[in-house]
Amino acid sequence: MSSVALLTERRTFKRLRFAAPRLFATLLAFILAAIWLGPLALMVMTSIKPNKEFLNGPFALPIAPTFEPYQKVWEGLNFGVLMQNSVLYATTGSALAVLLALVPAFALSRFEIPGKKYVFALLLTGLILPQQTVLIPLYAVLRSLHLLDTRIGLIIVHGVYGMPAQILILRGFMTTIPREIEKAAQIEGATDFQIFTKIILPLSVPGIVVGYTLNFIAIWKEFVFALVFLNSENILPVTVGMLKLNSDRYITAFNLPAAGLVISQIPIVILFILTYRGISSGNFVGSVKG
Amino acid sequence: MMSRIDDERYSFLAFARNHVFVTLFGIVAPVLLFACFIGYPIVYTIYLSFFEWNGMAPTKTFVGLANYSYMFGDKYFYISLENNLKWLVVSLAFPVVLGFLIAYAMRVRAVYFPTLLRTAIFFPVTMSLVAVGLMFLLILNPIFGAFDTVLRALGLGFLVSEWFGDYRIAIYTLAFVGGWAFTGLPMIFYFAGIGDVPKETFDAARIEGAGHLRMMLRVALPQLRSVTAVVVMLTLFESLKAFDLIAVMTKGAPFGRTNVLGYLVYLESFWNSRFGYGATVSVAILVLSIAIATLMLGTVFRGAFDV
Amino acid sequence: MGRSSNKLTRRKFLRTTAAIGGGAAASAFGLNSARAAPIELRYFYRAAWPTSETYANWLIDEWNKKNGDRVHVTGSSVDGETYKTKQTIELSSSSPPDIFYSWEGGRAAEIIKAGFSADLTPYYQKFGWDKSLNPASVTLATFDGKKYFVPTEIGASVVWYRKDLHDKLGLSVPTTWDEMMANAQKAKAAGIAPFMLSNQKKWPAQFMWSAMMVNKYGLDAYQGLIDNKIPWTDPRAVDITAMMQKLAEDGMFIPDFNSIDFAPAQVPWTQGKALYWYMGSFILGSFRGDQKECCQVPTDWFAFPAMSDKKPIMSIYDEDTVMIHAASKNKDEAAEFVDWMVSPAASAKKLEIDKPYASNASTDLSHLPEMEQRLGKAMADAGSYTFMHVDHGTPPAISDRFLDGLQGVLAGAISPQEAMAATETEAERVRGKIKT
Repeated sequence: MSSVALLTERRTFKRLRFAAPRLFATLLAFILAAIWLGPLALMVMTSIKPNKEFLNGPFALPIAPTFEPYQKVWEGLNFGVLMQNSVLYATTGSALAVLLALVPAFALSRFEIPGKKYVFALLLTGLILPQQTVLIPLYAVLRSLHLLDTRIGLIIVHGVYGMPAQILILRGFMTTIPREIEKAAQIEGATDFQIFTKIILPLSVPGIVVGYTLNFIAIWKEFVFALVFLNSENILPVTVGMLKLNSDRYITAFNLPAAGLVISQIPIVILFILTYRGISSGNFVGSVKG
Repeated sequence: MMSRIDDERYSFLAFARNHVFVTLFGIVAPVLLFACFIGYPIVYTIYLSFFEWNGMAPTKTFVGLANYSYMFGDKYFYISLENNLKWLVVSLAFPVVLGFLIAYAMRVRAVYFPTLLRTAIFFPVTMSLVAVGLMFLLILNPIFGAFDTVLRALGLGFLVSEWFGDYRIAIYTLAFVGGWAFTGLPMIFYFAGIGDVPKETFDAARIEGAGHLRMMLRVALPQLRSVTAVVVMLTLFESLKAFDLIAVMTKGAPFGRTNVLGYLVYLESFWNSRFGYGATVSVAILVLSIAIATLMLGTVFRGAFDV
Repeated sequence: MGRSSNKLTRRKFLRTTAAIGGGAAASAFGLNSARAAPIELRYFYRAAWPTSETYANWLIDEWNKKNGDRVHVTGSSVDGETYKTKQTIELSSSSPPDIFYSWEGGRAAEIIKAGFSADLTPYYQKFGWDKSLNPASVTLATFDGKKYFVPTEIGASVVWYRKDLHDKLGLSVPTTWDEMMANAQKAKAAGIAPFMLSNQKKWPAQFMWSAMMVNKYGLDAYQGLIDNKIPWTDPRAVDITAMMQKLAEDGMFIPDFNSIDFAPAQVPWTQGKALYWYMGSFILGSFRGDQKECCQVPTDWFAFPAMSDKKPIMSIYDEDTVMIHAASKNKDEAAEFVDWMVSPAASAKKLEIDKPYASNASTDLSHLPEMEQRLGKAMADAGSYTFMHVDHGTPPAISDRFLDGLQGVLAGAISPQEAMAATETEAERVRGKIKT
């Protein structure tokens, strides 16, 4: 599989010595990295700058660094609660999406189901759909199910809306699993269910991890559904809570939005460190492309 | 039991009888959920597009095709449509191409410290666009923005513009900010994709004395057709969905020139209390997405998903 | 921010239980089974300013401290920008808030028309609000003889000026348009932008537009536009738009004004890069900054000067207002809470932790700086309602197009005629053609 391929590939390319000046390329790479990391570093610096120092220009180093903005944002927006909620929605929402997607992915990767084409068309529609277009009817659906302004309601929505992408990812992954083992199991009379739980599921773990992580990030970033379907402040996620920092009437305390921004990224940084190898090696691509 | 497609009398019912578990949990359950939470909303949106409704009144007024005929004469609709296309072009040109170049450079080990580069570029993919928007509002600010300061320091002061205030460039500013946050995704896809290309292919080309340009265009890209298909599709959907950044950064200003279809739906529905018309624009987005996706899958990417 | 975390937690806890049980079910249950359970009220508000949130928390906590065992209030807030989206959804939901932030003018009319707003006339009598509140603000709450909302904060738009710059340039406070323009020229010659304009989100430019319209062509002409009696393509409206365009062309506004947002504009203002700023009194919240008292730089105000022989008129309007939902089961209790919101005690606290001005006419302004006191008095003396800026006066669909047009004109992208024609097209879509 890809991770194995990856290792061998590295060695291959090591032998390919191109004439292109590697230092020059590295310099370019550093400039690129600076463009991508610069804004983030700037935000960290801005977040610890006292208000008065803003007149000194954006790159002036903080003279009297302060962590007060962090304290203010944390308490003012109730960030602890927001954070808990975001983590809850992202973990459970993506778990639900993966759970819902497993058997369909299995079905689409292993069986010639009549009308398979239409199933794919449906899935793609689910992927295409901009959220704003379904807000009103979805709101009505949730209302009739008494799921408005509840955590579980939002989790279900995230689960279902994550499902199409997860089916595609997992299906792609499952198609790469060799079929010889199943064939043997089938001959011994294994049922679909047994093949699924005993063979496919264990072998799909890397695909599941990747799909789950991508969905986690997606839910972490999401704000339209949460904004419209939730009211109670104690169940709002970070993205919605942070909107308050965007008020155009916010006093000239730019360290507050910056601090909020930095805090909001901390859990994702942790996730990033934990799963980075998994994501960045791009194992999932093999799965998506099928 | 697999691959029974050769059986002429094969039908869905027969399949269901043979595969109860798969049918129930693999087809019926997801289709039901889809119907309830995704299908019904779509159908309802189409239904709503034939009505006029302020979102508050208990009754909706049937107006037939009036919303559609209004839409085809609505300047804002065309500006938004155009902006979506501009966004798509920028996204294909900047994050996708750059993502590919970076992935290639890392795979052929043309740079030192590839991990640093990869981490830096990928990180913004994990950021909420609300946060990205807030950040770039500060950075591109004309008064104390860091970007203008950098340009001036580099002697490029003549490039300084009103990034959000000038109606000719505001939409591109937004698209580039969006691209900044998006580049990591195509990069990762290509990075993995190139890793899966058999090494012999590259070796052979190398022996024939191919340069980087030829390696990329003639060797890598043809092998990466399905990855490109995925990336282009993702980019297409993302640019048609573009909403968050506009909601946070410009709200359509200056004078509606940064509206995109997704934001127009929101503006007309929730701001101007015209939910019927908002639904009409939604239908337009839906038709557009499906049309472009079908077109691409039927031509350039035929068979790329081996459905 | 972060006041009395104890109470906050208790409120949050109650809210959680309510949410888990499903709002309506929980309160219905409460009424039947346990007699001691308090009536639950939900207050849904717009937190446009960080201080609005702090103040609302204080209001709710104080109320619950005193009356929590009888009538318990829970608050939920949405930031200023997204409030409207949520409001539409919340009001028509099956468990709407009992008390909610509304707007005056065009948006209020929409809500009233949709039947969400309870008639508050009896409560005005019961609590004597018509006497205790600023008369101008009460006039605005009246629609077809009935009163539908209660103003909690009122505002006035005036020309704020940098006192120190005025002195440095040897300028005197202008009373006519020409005098103001002469001052502007001197400022410009000295390298200072005559007017601050933070028009990125397109709403600020309308302030000056409406003031010019009223002072040049009279209140009737402006009100005619707002009340759908005069089309937006009227030569007077076009003329004012053209005047604004001329000001922009002449460099009367700070450079890059279409890229500067309201909050960042405080930076060049503090740096002394602009002399005048025509803006609502809510800006005092920004002028105050981190300090307890206004202002960070020497600031004073004067009324928008006369542009013709007509007596200049200051814009006085309701900045924050609340309505009681028509479907609320506990309107009497909700009205009690509203009465607490506009009480002298709450109003005094508003000035302390939020910003001026409270709608209660008898609010003690004595601890405010002299300049703010003077403005407060001018508002009280105005007697009756004057005029609202366009985005308050007209339904959002019209004002949005108007603001787009004005911003386009200032950017030099479209002509004043085009801007007003676009506004009129939109207005016709909302209200139909005006019969002349």
